[in-house]
Amino acid sequence: MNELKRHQDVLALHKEEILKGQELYKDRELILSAQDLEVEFTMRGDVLKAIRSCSMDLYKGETLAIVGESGSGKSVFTKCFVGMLDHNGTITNGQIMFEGRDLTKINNEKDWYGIRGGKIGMVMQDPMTSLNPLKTIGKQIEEAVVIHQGLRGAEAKAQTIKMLELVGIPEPERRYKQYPHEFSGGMRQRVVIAIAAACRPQILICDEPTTALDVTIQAQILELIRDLQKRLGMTIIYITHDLGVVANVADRVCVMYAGQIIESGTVEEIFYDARHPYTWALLGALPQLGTKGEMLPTIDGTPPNLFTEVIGDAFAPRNRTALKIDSLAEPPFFQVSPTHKVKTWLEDERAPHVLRPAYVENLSDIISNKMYTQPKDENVVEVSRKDYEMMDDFSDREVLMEVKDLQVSFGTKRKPFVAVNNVNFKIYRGETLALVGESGSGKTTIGRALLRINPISRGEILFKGKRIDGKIPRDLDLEVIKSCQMIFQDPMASLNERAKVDYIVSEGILNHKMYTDEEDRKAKVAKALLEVGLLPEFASRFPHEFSGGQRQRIGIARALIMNPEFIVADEPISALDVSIQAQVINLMNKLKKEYQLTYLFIAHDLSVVRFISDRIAVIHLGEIVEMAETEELFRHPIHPYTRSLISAVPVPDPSVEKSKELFVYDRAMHNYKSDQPGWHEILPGHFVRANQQELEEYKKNLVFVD
Amino acid sequence: MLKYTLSRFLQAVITILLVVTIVFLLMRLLPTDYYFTEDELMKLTDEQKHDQLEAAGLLDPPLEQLMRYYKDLLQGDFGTSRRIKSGKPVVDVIGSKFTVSMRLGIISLVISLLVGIPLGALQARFKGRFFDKFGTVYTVFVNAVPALVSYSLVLVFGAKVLGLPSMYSVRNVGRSSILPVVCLSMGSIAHYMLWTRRYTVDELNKDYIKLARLKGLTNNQIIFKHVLKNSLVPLAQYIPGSILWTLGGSLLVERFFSVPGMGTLLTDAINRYDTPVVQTVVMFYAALGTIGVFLGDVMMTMLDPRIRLGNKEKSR
Amino acid sequence: MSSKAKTILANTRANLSGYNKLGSFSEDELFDVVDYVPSAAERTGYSDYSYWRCVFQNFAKNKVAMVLFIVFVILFIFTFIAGNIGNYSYDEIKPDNTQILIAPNSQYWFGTDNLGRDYWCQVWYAAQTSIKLAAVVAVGEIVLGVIIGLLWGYVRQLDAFFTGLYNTINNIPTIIYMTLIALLVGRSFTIMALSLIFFGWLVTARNIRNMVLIYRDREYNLASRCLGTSTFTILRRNILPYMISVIIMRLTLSIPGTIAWESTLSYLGLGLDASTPSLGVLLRNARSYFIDFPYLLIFPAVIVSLITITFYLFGNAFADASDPRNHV
Repeated sequence: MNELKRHQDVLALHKEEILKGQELYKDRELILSAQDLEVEFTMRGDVLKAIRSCSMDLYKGETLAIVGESGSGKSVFTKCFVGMLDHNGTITNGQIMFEGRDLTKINNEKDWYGIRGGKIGMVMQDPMTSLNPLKTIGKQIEEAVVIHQGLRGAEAKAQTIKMLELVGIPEPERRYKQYPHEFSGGMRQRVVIAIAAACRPQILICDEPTTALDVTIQAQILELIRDLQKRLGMTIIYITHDLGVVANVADRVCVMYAGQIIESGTVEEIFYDARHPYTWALLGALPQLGTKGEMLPTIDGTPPNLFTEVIGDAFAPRNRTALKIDSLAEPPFFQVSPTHKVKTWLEDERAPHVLRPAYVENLSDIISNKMYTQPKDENVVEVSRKDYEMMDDFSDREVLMEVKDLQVSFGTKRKPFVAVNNVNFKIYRGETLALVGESGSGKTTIGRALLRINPISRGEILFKGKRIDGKIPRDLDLEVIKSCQMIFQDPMASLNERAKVDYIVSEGILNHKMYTDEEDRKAKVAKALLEVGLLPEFASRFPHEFSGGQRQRIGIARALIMNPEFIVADEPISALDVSIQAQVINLMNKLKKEYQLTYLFIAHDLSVVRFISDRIAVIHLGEIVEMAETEELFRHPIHPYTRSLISAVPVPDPSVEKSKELFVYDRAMHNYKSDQPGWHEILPGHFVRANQQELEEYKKNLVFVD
Repeated sequence: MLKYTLSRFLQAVITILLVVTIVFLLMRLLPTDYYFTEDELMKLTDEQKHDQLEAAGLLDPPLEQLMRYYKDLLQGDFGTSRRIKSGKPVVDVIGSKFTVSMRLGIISLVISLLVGIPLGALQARFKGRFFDKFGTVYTVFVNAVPALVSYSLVLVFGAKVLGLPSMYSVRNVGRSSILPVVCLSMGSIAHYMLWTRRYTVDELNKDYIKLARLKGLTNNQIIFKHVLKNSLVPLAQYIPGSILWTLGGSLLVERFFSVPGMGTLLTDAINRYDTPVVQTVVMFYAALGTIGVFLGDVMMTMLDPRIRLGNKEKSR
Repeated sequence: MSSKAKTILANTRANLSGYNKLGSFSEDELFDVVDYVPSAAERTGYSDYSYWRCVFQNFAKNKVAMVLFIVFVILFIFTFIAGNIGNYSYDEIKPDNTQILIAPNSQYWFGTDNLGRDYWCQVWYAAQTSIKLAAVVAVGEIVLGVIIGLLWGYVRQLDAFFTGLYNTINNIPTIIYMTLIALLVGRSFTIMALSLIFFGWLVTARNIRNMVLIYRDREYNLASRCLGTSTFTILRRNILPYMISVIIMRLTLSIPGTIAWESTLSYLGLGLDASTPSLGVLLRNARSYFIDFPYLLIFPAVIVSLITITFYLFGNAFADASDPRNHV
């Protein structure tokens, strides 16, 4: 029982933290308790059992995170607490006790008025649509102040401005009079939070409040929520699909799968002592934990659709360590500690001891290996000679794609909007270059410019040394079409719903007659489908029959059938669930090896990229600010924007995450008025955008050890 | 904002000018025989005809005629009527008819706004209940049944059951206007109900309504403080434009009840080939329609801060 | 084992008689690790949603629309045979002073008009004219509207031109154009059909254009462009299939519209010539009489309204059923 011993070692290592977490829950007061809740939806005549006998206790003053993939029912579950279920949904069983009253018994909208907002509030996912576009920000917050704090007139206005200040909106007096469209996404989410906080609720439900936001903004919003909780003493339910975020905010965690909570415990118990195979799988699928060159541990398949009754453990078909009983009987809850319970047969006394995946056991080790310790002075970068011993030499490699002085602008000639400016880079054959930036940074525009979907307004694009921008001869055009392909972000929008998979996959070879006869074409389609792990028989189906991950793989097959040399992957996994992301990443890595593919991998956050890319280019507001080999960039981040991106990546380890300090980047720190910035190689293969003065400063901060 | 309004105004003027030009040139395509009455056609020799046409300038190249027409227009001269009131300036011929048409038009417009919008909002508030269904039956009926048929039904009901005059008469303007006004408003009430209901329901499905509910607002507070204004924004664009609808309908209503208005004048003028009158009336309708659409755009711009503050984001 | 687990197990066993392998399991065997089958994992959870099936399911649920549609079909067929089963044929009727304004009876099923002609055959002939005109216009309007709408929406360079054209035409009441055409070109079935098509494409084209704008920049179209698919093929395979529901909706809604236009124009003396009986012509002739002889109004009104209302509701029901937002 070697592994058992090791597990105990790990537990011992974190024993103090776990005990401290458990200690917090001694004699805690219950504030809300849901028992055996069941919710059904009628959809197209079928009944979907979204919540299957789900129970949860909420303690006063805690932050409880509910983690689950899309469709796990986490959002539906909490909507029951505020009476906001969609019209086709009903609570069919169970009770929700709050202040001595069963909330499931309320069937009158009027009875909710006293609870919603004032006692239980909610912040929704998308801040772009959740504010009334025709009312000023001030009025919208003031409404809540008037109703729930009983203030009127000037008092209400003063309180509203205080709320704006509280959520960290600068110049509150001026902002008070502005309309939502004058606010950025992150600012709007602050306003939504201000509205919820102005209601002075006892419980605040945050339903994925940062999913629609950029990583750096996400980190700031998380800080804000923690801060507000402390100041206003609220109890918070935080819903998310991202375990990394959980480590940051939560005291306690509930993991949901297929409409049930399958494991719950303090955040330390979940991260250091997870017991359910699904929780292990979720942890393993985090790209932060992946090691380059190895496959990410994946969860095959997709979560069950809940139209059909689930027998036994819903996770069993995807579980690599399923027991026979899992497909027969639903497991009961086993109590691991006073605060930790789990719903799996593995905890039964007769169950064999199943080997836990290594990444669960070594979570802290993996993470500390990946975190380069920063010197105390946060500006100093330590450089050691041995960092460069392993470095690849790019000088003799073939340049496949080259971009010189690229500029892309949209809009009219009189009022151009420059989306991308002064962009220079080379992509070598066989490498993966990652382009990382937040929304609106122009990363997608660059990708599309390379594939000539967006026309460029200045500069040159060279493919194998030949210019391919603007008007080019027909044979070169055909060559580029055949050798450069794209994988798209949204698997729902990137397939033609009204065409069969057969047509979608063979569209490219149909256009260019790249097959000898019908049989050959069918064979090629079947080969491409098999290549991406799908069955050839899927060719006769329509896209809507597939899940997001499968659809994304169909999109890859469509590109693959052309035998491309170069693929632009535009955030291919950001719209997918965590458990599915790993499948697609592994597939892309496999194909890269087999076909010597070259990728331009576009992403919005550094954690994924570290696992898959050879080099990283960081882009901010249309300009590349830093470019280096992957580990070099993480080891020696120089540009302040890169540093803020790195510090914003959520680390799936509560002890690290809770003591983390956020590095905030403000563009105003550059003074580019007189001293224009340029593109400098500051360390071997490591470029940064800076002006002379900044360059001096960056160089001064490089401390050469050994 | 000002720049936008100006450019939209310029567009409107160009549209009107374009229509006037096209109509003018089309009129020149007519065989010159129409210039004469049947009597004259029989009596006059070809030479006499030629002289008369030449004197009227109708044999000049069309472009020259067009330039002359523009010049006259600039001086406020719309020409003289040839048949309907021979020799009188067109402006005088139109004058009295204009008041009649506008009186009916404005009354019915006010009625339809006051009735249609609140009914539509109520329909949305009580969506799926009896009132909503009843309103839908009405809108379907008015939209689906040809206007002529529903006017006839109104006429038979009004005249037979209520004893109202079946024809417009100058001596009894009040009572005899009732049926024409009912017919004119019937359609636009249905339109406003339909649009108001649709936009209000659209707004009620938006995310910010969820936030308003989460704030603890009551259903009525949500309707009055949030939804109503927002649903009126897209509607505002249609209100002036729907004058077009009333205008189009008025042609039929005026003829149906023998109202001596612009519509009757236009059909008369066409049937009797009184080209100056036709041109002017068409120009008038074109101007009214174009200005209506223009006002709609401006109103919407004023109501929606996203457009007002020069944001590129689409408002709908 | 906890007592709860025991009950669950017992219940499961009781339910498993149909499952062949399970009877042989001993309680301990239940806790063996099973072999992992990846294909079984791939099979979990796939949606069986189908757009068209949902459209028809939703439509079939709308009982009123179904009934009305059947009524329409019956009426449609009857319109073309009714002329033959009456006592008079339309080709033979003549004015007859002795038979003026006779109320409906067994001889004259719908009575006679002010000239003493049988009303039954006139009404059905008028209905035939209306339906024929409506059908011709609907098809013409859709073909023109879809082609223009696709180009308008997809080809950016054409957008300004078509928008300008649309605004110019749309700013003026259509009836003015119709009036001018009737005056300048003439009055006949063909002219009227052509001019209604000429002004009718606007709505269809606008709808199609707005739909195309929604789909044009979807990633699947970008994917097609990356694969070198021609614009024509993109329009045909990627865009047009999404327009089918709009097209059918416009088709059904244009029919009541055309019938209304015909009656209005004919009533104003700008539509069909007086010798072709149509709804407008009939009502125009009867205008002075139908206060005293309501049957002159009731028969044509009911028949035409039935046609237009059924079709209008059918169109609306289809539009609702085909809206993906209603597929819940």
